[in-house]
Parts: sequence; structure tokens; C-alpha cells
Amino acid sequence: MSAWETAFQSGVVVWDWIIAIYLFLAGMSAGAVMISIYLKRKVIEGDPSENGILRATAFLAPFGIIVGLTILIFHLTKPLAFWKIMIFVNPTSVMSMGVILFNVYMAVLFIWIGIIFRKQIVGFLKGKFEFVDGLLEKFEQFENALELFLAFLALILAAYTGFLLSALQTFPMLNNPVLPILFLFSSLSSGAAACLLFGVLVFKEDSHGPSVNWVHGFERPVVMFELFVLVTFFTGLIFAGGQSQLAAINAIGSGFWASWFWWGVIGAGMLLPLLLNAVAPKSVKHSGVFILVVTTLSLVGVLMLRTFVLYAGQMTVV
Amino acid sequence: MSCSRRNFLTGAGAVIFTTGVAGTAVISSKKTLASVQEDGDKRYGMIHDETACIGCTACTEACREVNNVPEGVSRLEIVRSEPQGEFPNVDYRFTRNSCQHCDNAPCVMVCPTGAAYKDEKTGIIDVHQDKCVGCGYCLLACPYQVRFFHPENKSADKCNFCRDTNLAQGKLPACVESCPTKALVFGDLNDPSSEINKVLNTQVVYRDKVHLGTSPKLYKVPHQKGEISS
Amino acid sequence: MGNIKLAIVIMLKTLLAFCLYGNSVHAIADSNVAQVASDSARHEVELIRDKDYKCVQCHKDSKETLMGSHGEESHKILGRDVNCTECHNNIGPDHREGAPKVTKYAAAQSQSGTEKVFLDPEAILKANSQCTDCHQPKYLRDDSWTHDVHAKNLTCSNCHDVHAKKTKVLALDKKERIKLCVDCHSDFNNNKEEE
Repeated sequence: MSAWETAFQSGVVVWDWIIAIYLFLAGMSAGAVMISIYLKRKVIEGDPSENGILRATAFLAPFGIIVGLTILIFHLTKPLAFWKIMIFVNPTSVMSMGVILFNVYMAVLFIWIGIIFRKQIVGFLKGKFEFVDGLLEKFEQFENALELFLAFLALILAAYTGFLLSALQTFPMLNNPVLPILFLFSSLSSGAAACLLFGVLVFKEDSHGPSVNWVHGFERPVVMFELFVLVTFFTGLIFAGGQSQLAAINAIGSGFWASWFWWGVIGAGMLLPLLLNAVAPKSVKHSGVFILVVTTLSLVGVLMLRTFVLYAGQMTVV
Repeated sequence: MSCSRRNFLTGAGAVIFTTGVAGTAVISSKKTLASVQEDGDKRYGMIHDETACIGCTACTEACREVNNVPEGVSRLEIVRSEPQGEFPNVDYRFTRNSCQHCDNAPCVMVCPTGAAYKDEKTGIIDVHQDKCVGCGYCLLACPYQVRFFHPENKSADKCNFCRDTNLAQGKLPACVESCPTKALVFGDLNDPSSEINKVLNTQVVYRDKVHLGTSPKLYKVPHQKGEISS
Repeated sequence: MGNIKLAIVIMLKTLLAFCLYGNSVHAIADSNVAQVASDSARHEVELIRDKDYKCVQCHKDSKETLMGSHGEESHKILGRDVNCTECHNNIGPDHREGAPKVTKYAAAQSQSGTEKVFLDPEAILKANSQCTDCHQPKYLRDDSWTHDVHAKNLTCSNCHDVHAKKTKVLALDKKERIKLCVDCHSDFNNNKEEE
């Protein structure tokens, strides 16, 4: 496996595959939240807490954020000092602003979930922590504003990971204005895939219902736009000439990462799901196995994209 | 006259007030300007003279000793070029790779805790080790790739012009002192009479990656053969 | 009458036998005569295969010390021992009176310093050709890039002693080698500044 070893040169690359997983989880969480808010406001009729996709998001979104941040903490060279990042602020640092954003996002997310699933939570608490019910009732007054604020926060969060990397002048492939847009759309596509995967298969949402139909309908333009953004991204690099052009050629021209990109990210992660969704007969389309396969391909594709951007980006220096 | 006494007094007072404030501002600012020039902030810079450098790496070893840099990592590197010319007239070019102490440092900009900072009194870029959490953002942000994680204290580390070692004792940085051919010049760029400014005004110099807008303070006198690549 | 024939035959046969016997006695006597010792006045030359024999009679340790650096490995490459006169060539008739003509090796540099002898670069290059005829520059470069820049500036003897095993620069570790560079370069640089 020496090609893998040389490609994943963890000694030379400062931010390695652990960061790629974090980028994926954060993006998926934000994407799932954005989709769920839209569903709740425009598609779902009746009690939102009964909806399988919303239930899936109630687990996925906090899970993604919490697990993502935890692995980040352990990636620090001084993990026990992580709290310092929460109390010291540097307004010029995208990471510092991101930490604040994460904190606010998490708070608002938990409140929003709390409002939706108030009945279930109170039932689960069985009389303990009575203040929770009262608190949630107070927050419910601002549900609309909170929801819109959360949607906004999720959008910023999805793009934030892109801004984080694009602040690095050192790497011409990362120092790119299109990167935040790419990450936003890849968040939406991973969020949609995760919502479907867990919403239908775990929380038994009706695969013929309006929610699932909407997400399916939403997925295709998102993936197509994502492909367009990728084309824009690499064309821009090539047109920029010099080190930017070299970075693009090193990344997708030949070698390990080129194969990873064309076969994994584009082929298996984007084109294959599109193709499968287009040609599969109606009877297969709504089967559990089909949904499992297609959403997994999508999710793996997004993880591969984040890994690719991180590693191939750090290959070429300005 | 339609101007009442009250009006007159108000107007006169306003005029006096304005001119008085403006006047004192002008006078006091003049005083401030003079005091900055006399004992103001320093901007330490360094010149690496590639025409004098013999590639002995005594600077690297002196830095290692004075600043307790462990083996396996280095605060500065001397890079040897490919041999130029044919035997017996073979020539090598040696370039120094170390912290440029940028006036507009990307590492300071990206540090989430403010551990990476610029000491305004000296212009030296340094690290507050107790604030550093080891996220690695500064390692990535530095376009010169001179930062590393210290194997022992796990903080981000790099050349700091011997700020807490030699400079604190009134000596020149270890590398400058150890150079057998006097290829390194260190001094205050804000001081017009300093040796560094003398060299900058009399020799052709270049800096690395100036187009990125980092305003580095490590100057280099180019090797007199071949193309300057920065 | 038959008896006379018989008598003549017997006499002839006896005569032949006596002749043969006499001849054989003469032959044996001849071989003894051939072993007479040569006590002539001519000098006898003994052929000795060791070319260095005469040098080593006075320079007693030098062959052994040479084997420390130019021993087994050199023998493999050359197919024979390295001989004294390969480097110390040009031996003159007055070798025992101060040896003015023979090729000797010493440290010399192309910049004036406080301790070392000055020699101009072309002369240094010519002197170094004694070594570089065998030790080709492209292989020296693989051993150390410093050979390239000192080709015209330092004689090999500055850093290498052939009559020893792993000595001078070869025995130094990294820090000591750096000190070697620093000592020489700071010496003649200071000299230059004082001018």
C-alpha cells in the first residue's frame, strides 16, 4: 500500500484525514439543518416531530457537530488546552470566528430541536428538570426568528469550512474564492443524502411522501450545480497560471489524487448517483437497498471530496 | 447691529475653543512625532548575504545550541543549490530559509488565540507558548513554511531573532555571531544610521514572495551568478 | 682356418666393448667436470617483486600506514598494491641529502591566512591532480560537495592524511566538521578585513 502511504504523507501534511472527517461532519450537519428547516416551513404538514427526516436531523445535526469538534480537539498538539480557543478571540482569524459561530449554532440548534420535540423530551424526562419545559415554552415564542437565524447560521457554517481553508495564501489550490461556494453545495448534497439515508431507513419516513420527494427533487440540481462549481474551480486555477495552474495539474492531472478525484469524487460520488436515480425503475427507486446504496455513494463522495481538497491542496506551495 | 452681546460672546468662545483645540493638537502632535523618531519602536530586520555565505551551517548549529532546539527540527535552514558549472570551477548558491518577521504576518492573522503575535516594540514575530493550543493553522498559513511544532513543548515554534535569549542579553542573534564570513547583518530598519540600512542602501537586495503582501524583513543579497528566484 | 675368423670377431667385439666402456667413463668424468664452481667477479642481481622495498628500508612505517587508507579496497580496484612512487614520484639522485626533487605533500590554501602556506589556485589544482587522477571529481562530489568548491583553493592534505586510517576530516562528526569550516574561513576573512 505504498502509494496510499506516500499520498497520505501525514508527516508532511499538517491537516490530515482527521480534519477531512471533521470537515465532512460539520458540512453534513449544516446541510441537514438547512434542508430540515425548509421542509418544516414549506413541505411538512402536521406535527413536524412526527416527520422521519426531522427526527433524523435531530440526531444527525448535533452528532455531526459534537463528534466533529471532539476529533478536532484530539487533533490539537495540546488537546487539554482546547478551552483557550473558546476564551481567546482574534477577529482576523477565520478559525476564531468559526469557534464563536459553532458555539452559537450549537445553542440555537439545541433550542430549535427542543422546541420541535418538546413533548417527546418532557415525556422522556419523566418529571425531572421541570424548568426545561418552561424554558422551551418561552423560546417557542421566538420560534420563527430562531428558525430563520438557525438557517442563516447553518449556511454560514457550511461555507465557513471553505473560508477557513481559503485564508491560506500558502496553497494556491486552497487560496481560492470558489472554495466556500463548493463547500456550501457539497454540504447541501451530503445533508440531503444523510437526511434520506437516516430519515427513510432508520426513522421510517414514507419514501413516497412529500418530504422525501422534495429532497429527491432538490438533490439533482444541487449535484449538478456542484459539478459546475468544480469546473469553475479548476478552470479558474488553470487560467490563473503559475503555481495555481501547477497545483491544478498536480491535483487532477495524474497520480494517486487524480484517480481519487475522477473515480471517487466525480464518478462514484456524483455521476453514479445521478445516473442511478435517472435510470432506476420506479419500483426499485423507493426500495430500501437502493436508497441505502445511492445515499452512501453520495456521502462517501463528499468525504472523498473533502479529503481530496485537503491533501491535494497541501501538495503545491505558492 | 443685530448681534446681541450673548450671541457675540457665544461666537467668540466657539472660535477660541476651536482654534485652541486645533492649536494644541498640532503642537502636541509635533512633539509626539519628534519623540517617536528619537526613541520610538524598532523594526528589526536581517540581511543574508549570498555572496558571502559558504554553506557551513554554523548558524543553524549555533541557533540550535542557544535556543535549545531539539534534533529533527530547525529554526533555520541553509539550502544548497544544484552544482553550477564544471569541475574545477563548480559553484553552489546557498539560501537561508527562516522566519521573515513579516510586518503583515499571515500567521498572526490566522492564530485563533492570539498566541502568534507581533511585538510592536521590536517588530519581531513571536509565539506566546502558553496561549498556543497546537491547531496548526499558523504552520499552514506561513507561505515560507518556516514554522514547526516543537517536539517537547508542543507549541508552534520558529526563529524569533533570539528575542528571549541573545537579544535579551544585549548580544546579536546566535546565527549572526557564529557566521565565519559575516554573511548575516542584523539591525533596526527604523534607524537610518544602522549597519543594515547601510547595506540595504549600497547593495542590490531582494526578498522572498513579496507579491503576497507579507512585507518580510529578511533581505537577501543575491548570489552573483544565475537567476534570482524569489 | 675357422678359428682365425672367430678370433678376429671376438677381438673386434671386445674392442667395441672397451670403446663403449671408455666412452661411458669419459661421459661420467665430463659431468663431474661441469660442476666446477663459478668464482667470477660479476655482481649477482636478485629479482625482488616488492617495488617499495627500498623505500621501506628507511621509511619504515609508511607502507603500513598507507595500507590504512589505500589498502584492501584500492587493491580491489587496481588489482595491485598502491606503490610509494605512484604519489612520491620524481625521486632524484640526491634523495638522501634532503630529497629536494621528490614530490611531497603539504597543506596550502589560495587565500592568505595566519598559519597556512599560500599557493596560487592553478598550482593547487595541479598539485591536487596527483590525487584526482585516481579519485575522480564526480565521485568526490557524491562523498561531499565541499570537494567541488575547494578544488582550486585547498590542497587535499589540508583535510586528508593518506598515511593513516580514518584520520583528519574523516574522523570528525558533524559539529566538528562545521568547526573546521568556521576556523579556516573566519581566519582568512579576518585577514582580509585587516588589509
